[in-house]
Order: sequence, then structure tokens, then C-alpha cells
Amino acid sequence: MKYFTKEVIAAVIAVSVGLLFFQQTLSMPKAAYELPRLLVILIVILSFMMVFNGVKTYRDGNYGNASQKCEGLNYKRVFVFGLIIFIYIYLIEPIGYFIVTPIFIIVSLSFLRATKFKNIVLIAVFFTVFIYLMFVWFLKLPVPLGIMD
Amino acid sequence: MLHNIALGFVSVFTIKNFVAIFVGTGLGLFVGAMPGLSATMAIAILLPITFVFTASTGISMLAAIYLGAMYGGSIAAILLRTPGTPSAAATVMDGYPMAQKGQAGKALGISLISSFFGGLISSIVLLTIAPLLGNIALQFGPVELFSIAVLGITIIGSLSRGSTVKGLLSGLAGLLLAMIGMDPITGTPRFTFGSIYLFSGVPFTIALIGLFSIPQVFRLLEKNESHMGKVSSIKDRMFPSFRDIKSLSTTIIRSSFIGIFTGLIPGTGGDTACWFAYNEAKRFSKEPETFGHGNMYGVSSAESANNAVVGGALIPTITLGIPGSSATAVLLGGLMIHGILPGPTLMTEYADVTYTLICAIFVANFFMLAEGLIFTKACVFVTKVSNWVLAPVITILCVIGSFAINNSVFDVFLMFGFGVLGYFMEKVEIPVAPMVIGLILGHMLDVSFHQALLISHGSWLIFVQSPISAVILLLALLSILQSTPFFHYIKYLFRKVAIRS
Repeated sequence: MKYFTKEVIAAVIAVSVGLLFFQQTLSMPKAAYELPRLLVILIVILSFMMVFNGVKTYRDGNYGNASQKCEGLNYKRVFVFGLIIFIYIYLIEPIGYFIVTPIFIIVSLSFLRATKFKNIVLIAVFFTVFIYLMFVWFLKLPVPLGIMD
Repeated sequence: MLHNIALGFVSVFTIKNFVAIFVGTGLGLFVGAMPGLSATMAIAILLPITFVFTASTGISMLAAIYLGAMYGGSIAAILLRTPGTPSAAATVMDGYPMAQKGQAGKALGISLISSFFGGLISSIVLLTIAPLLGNIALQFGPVELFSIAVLGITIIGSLSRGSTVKGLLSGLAGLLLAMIGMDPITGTPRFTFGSIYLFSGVPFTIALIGLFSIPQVFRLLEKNESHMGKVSSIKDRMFPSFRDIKSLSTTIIRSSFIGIFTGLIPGTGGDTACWFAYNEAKRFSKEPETFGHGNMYGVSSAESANNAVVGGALIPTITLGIPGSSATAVLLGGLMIHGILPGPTLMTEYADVTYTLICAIFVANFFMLAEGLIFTKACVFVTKVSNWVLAPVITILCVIGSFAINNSVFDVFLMFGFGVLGYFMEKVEIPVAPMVIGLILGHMLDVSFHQALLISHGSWLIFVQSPISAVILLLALLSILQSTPFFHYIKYLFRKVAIRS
């Protein structure tokens, strides 16, 4: 992957989002769209400038060890953990905090092989109860109780 | 002004606020000591907890967390050779060699005393300058406020780490995201994509938690080591001798002022100030060659500067509504959670809360000193916690915290979305801080823009007709131009002329 590929990807995303927002402004009155449109135009210009700078840096060979920064990083672990978080958020409302949270801790710590299984279970129980007591009992803030509601 | 300061102190000296400051400082100390967790993340993750308190108690606690984390960062830096927070990066240079020589206690003591005096000096400056600047800011109308918001974005965009273009892009993206929701003048829903959840806009606290905490979780996981390494033990006395404190006084005062001035400039924070002060201490030293080999002046300079940043960064935050750093942006979020909007009215309409914050910063320094002396040895255990245990724990705090604010799972998904966005931005080297500032300033920019155009009957010339606004906009333009090749060429020409003459 060339050094400026990430700039291209970021620019494509920024321009696409910008255009989507611009399209939304078409149905707005002038007072409401003036500033957002100006921002979208500036974002599109800056996106092109970002790609131009990226290409220029690559050509000049001034990118140093930028490509080496990503070496040795475990993105697979990040992706799987991200997926576990997504499933946790998806299930927390219908099933409830008390069931999903300990499962989340057990699954993620087992996946990460953080410590022995006995310790994992202890951490899961302790932390689930601690957070509940802190938020609900002490701070009087809600947690999703799901089927236990 | 004196009346407000007195009121601020009275408010701080209530049992509730005292306990909040005590707990906040302790929490900051422990979170700051954990390698890889920043002060900003500590404040962001604990924001929902302050939701149930009154605004002054909540903000006092957050300010104490900030101050505590600034010192806490040095514990890991000295004992582990890994800065607990980015602001403690320069502390590693001499703190760790001191620990290797068996002077871990002395290094921590110097760090604590320097942090205390740095924080104290900056809070005194904050107490004196902020009210004066606040009075000037009161003269500003919508035209000037618009220009200030523009200046805030351009300065933070151009001074953030990395390229100016990416910094500005991030700031503008933040402004655009702040446009989501009902238009404040016409009441038209903007960019809500049919979702009723977005009618009141992007919840700022949710965005903050996502942008500062989830990327941190991913960062902890992307490395293959779950532990940071061997922790040095504290065998010697922690509190430095009076002779040591006396000899450090010049370094502490100089570094504190460096910290205050660095903090004043939006976009630069403790991480810049610590290196700046460290280099100056080295330059002024009679033995510069000993720096990097366990020189106590190196530890002292970095630590007094990073704690002095707190007061400096709060000056533009509370007088103009422009956060000086990401941490102060999150602090501002702590005010916004209670319906207090950033801007010059912070010093008048919400004087009770603002002055409580200023006085809480002052008092929190004393708590930091006391708790630092008591708890530093306990913090050694925290530095040993595995990153992989921390990751799910932080995630749960983020999920439950963002749910608790509005009792909505949509907010939790939004928080996660912002987290993924923050991680992606980090990977493509786009700074997150300007986006956060954009999200904060978006409302002020939008409202003042509309009001100014209403005054001028739609003419954009109004922004350059006001002399104050014109000067501010010129500064904003200069802050962008200073990073362009054109400016470098002018600098090159100047240098050429200087060499010739």
C-alpha cells in the first residue's frame, strides 16, 4: 500500500459524506443551508489538498517511517474485539445488563487470553456488580435491565 | 470580580464539592498512572458520572480528575519508562534513569512538588487573568463571536500534530457534524436523515466518550504485549528536602510560565509544554550533559510545565469558549451536559459555576499534593494491570455511561460509531482534537453567523467591517497561511536578507 493510499481513502470518504450533506441542503431554506454548504465546499477543497500533499510527500520521499508504524500491530484482534463490542451493544437492551455484561467480559477476556478462566469469572462478577452499584444505587442512573425489568 | 472569586471559594468549601475534588483527584491519579490512558480519556469516560451532580460539583470533580491525571502520568513514566499520559513523555527522560539509580521515590517526590507548584502558579494566573479577559469578551457581539469561533478552528487546526490541511479538515468536519439537528433560527431539521434521535443534534458528550475512549481501547489491543514491563520499586524517601526544593524553584517558576503560555494557545497542550520546558531547563543548566541520565531538573521542568498547562488552557476556554486543549474541551462538555453553553457568558450568566471551577482548580492542587504523598505507592499496583483486562472494563464504562445520559441505546451505537471514526482518523493521521473543538464551537458559530447576517441584512461584509472581527479574522488567516509554502518562501526571503545584511 502506497503512503498516500490512506489519504485517498480518507478523501473519498470525506467527499462522499460532504456530497451527501450537500444533497440534503437542497430542500432547506437559504438561512438554514448557507453555513453547512460553505463547510461542505471547504471540506471538499481540503480533501483534494490532503491527497495532493500525500502524493507530494510520497514523491519527495519525506514520509519517513510512516509505513513502518503499522507493522507489528494486530488489527485482527482489534476487528474481532470491535465485533464483540457491537454484539454487546446490540444485545444489551433486549436481554439486559446483568446477563450480557458478564458474558461480554468472559468472552472478551477469554478471547484475549488475559488471565486464568477462574480469574476471568471473578472479574466478570465483581465488575458487573460494581458498575451496577455505582450507576444505579449510588448515582441513580439507569442501566438497561432487558428481560429482568 | 473579587465578589465572584469569594463566592467561588465559598462554593468549593462545601462538603459535597470538597468530597468531589478529593475523589476526582484520586481517580485522576490512578487513571493517569495506567500507561496508555490519557487525562482526556479519564475525564471523558467519567463525564456521565457527574451528570447527577449539580454543575459546580460535577465540574469541580472533572477539573480535579484532570489535575490528578497530570501528576499520575509521571508515576508510570518514572517507574515503567512508559508515560502514563502523553504529557509525561519528557518526564521519562530523567525520571526513569533516577529510578534505575534507586531514586524512584525522590523522582516521584520532585514530580509531585513540581506538579503542585506548577498547578498552583497557573491557577493564580487563571484567577487573575480570566476575569479581566472575561470583561473584555463581554463587549463582543455576534460578529466578533463568529470570528472567534473561526479563529479557534483555524488555530487548533493549524497547530495540531500533523499537517495543517488534515487539522482543518477535522475541525470543519466537527463543525458540519454540529450542524446536525434543528436549525437554531428557522427551526428546519438539518441532516437528521429522518431520525428523531438526531433532531436535538449530535449529543456532544456521547461524541466525546466515543472519540477519546474507544480508540484508546483499540490501541491497547493492537499491541502484542499486554503488560508494559518491569516496574521499578520505591525504596527511598519520597518528599524532597527543603534544599532540593529551593534549588528547583527557578526551574519550577520558568517551566510553569512556559506551561501557562503553551496552554493559552489552542491546539497545544501538556505534551508540547513538557518538551518545551525540558529543553529550556537543559539550555539554562550548567550541566546540560547530565540531562537524560537522571537529572532532577529535567523531571521538575517537565512536570511543572504540564500541570501549569491546566490553568493556561482554561483561560481561553472559560473567557471565550475556545478550549485550549482536548482535555479542556471535555471539561467544557461537562458544563454543556448541564445546559451551560460555551462563550463569554460563562463569566457572567454562569459566574457561580465558572468561578467554582477556577477555585476548584486552585484547591485541587493541595489535594493532589496530599493524595500524591499518600497514594503514589498504591498507584504502583495500578501500573501492573494488564491492558487486556482494561480494554473490556473501559468499554463497559463507555457503554453504560453513554446509555445513562439519555436512557437510549441509539446513543450507545452513536458513541461506538464515533469511536470507530476516531480510530480510523488516527490511522490516517487526522487529529481528533480539532473535530471535538468543531463540535463545541459549531453551535456558537451557527447562531452568531445567523445573527450577524440578520443585523447586516444578509451582507457578509459585516465580518470585516467590525475592527475587532477584522483583526481576529486576519489572525485566523495568518494561522492558516503560516503553514503554506508561500509563507515558507517569505521566511526564506527574510532569512536571505538577514544573512546578506
